[in-house]
Amino acid sequence: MARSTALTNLRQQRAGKLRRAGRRAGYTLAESLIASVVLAIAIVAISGTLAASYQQNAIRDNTTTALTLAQQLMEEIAAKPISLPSGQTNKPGWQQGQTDRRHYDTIDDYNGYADFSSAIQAADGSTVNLSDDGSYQRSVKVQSGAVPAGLTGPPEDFVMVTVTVKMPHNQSSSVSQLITRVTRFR
Amino acid sequence: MRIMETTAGQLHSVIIRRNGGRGCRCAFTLMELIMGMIVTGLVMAAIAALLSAVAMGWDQSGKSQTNSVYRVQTHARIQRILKGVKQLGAVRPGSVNGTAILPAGVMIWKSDDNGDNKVQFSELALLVHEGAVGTADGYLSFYEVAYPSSWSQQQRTAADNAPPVVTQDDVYKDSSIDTFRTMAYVRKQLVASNLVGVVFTRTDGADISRPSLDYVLKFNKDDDVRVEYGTTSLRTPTTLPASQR
Repeated sequence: MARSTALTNLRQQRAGKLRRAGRRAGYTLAESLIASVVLAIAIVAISGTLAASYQQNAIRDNTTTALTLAQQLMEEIAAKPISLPSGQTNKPGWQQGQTDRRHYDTIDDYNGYADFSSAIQAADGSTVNLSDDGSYQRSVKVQSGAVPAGLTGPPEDFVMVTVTVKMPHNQSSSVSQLITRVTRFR
Repeated sequence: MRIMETTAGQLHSVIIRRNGGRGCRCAFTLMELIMGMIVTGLVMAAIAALLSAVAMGWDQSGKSQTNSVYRVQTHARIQRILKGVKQLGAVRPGSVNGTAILPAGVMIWKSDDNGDNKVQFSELALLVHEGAVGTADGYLSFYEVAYPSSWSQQQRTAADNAPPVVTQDDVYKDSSIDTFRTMAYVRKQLVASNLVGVVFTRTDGADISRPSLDYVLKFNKDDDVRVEYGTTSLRTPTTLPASQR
């Protein structure tokens, strides 16, 4: 009898142990939070990299467009003379209130000139809208007498032209060109 | 014998501890397995959507970059052609949407090879918008004369003077834009394709200004419609033909 009671007690103790051991172990709240934070940091890091990559692509495209716009204006300016031959009347430029580039006849007429890519006037008088991927603003600075170091000559024979293009994302690109007086062969 | 029994008991204890003290391995229930698979599926779908979006972004970025390079290359080609020429001749303006009756074109006096201040046939070239003008299948072509390399100077001169004789004023005739590209020994090079419309404007008003060509190009490449604007001024010592002085 005593032996039977002892066996019953032993079974009960074993069942209690199994019940305790059978309780499933889950993650605690702290563990779950830490896992979530780690996952969130990883996602933010990956998203940040992707966003930076896309932004870099956009900036590169904008810079290409800006340089094309700057190059166009620089070519147009470089085709003009520094000054007119004696006897010819110099037409007014931007500083004198002339906003139509087609009437500019010398380089310094472009000093201070500014326009926007949404309405750029072409040589035929039409207006071209080049604002496909944002708005660009072009501006021109003409610096007379810009004799480079190491060169000699009359200061009036040297002009430094700088075309600056403001791009979307608050960035800007500049193109500069030193123009010297040349003789046109005829 | 006693030592062996003790060691076996210790090993048994270790195994029980590794099993969480239970002595048996626990498997997922069917419900847990299904839930786990659903959650895994959701996570995989989210990752697939993210990767798909990234791939589409890269694809779009790649196309944009390709188109951008293509447009810049077109500017460079036009400038390479025009910067070294002697004079710009007849100009057809064309239109930005390709709706003009006559597409854009410009006759070019490339160089005065024999230094006689006159325009010979072999010194002419043409830049013209053709193909399906007004659609994405329009293109810009450059025509120039290319005699066989085996020809002597006498043969070239004879060909220049053979009928139909090109006089030096022909470079300023609008009709030359149509006739020049059909003449013998004139070869064609493609400058740019996917051009809906082209506008050319020559600027050569003042005696002291360099001749310039102002151009507007409307591209439609991969349904990406862009308008480009550029100017090229002649860099060589420019000279008018003797008849134009």
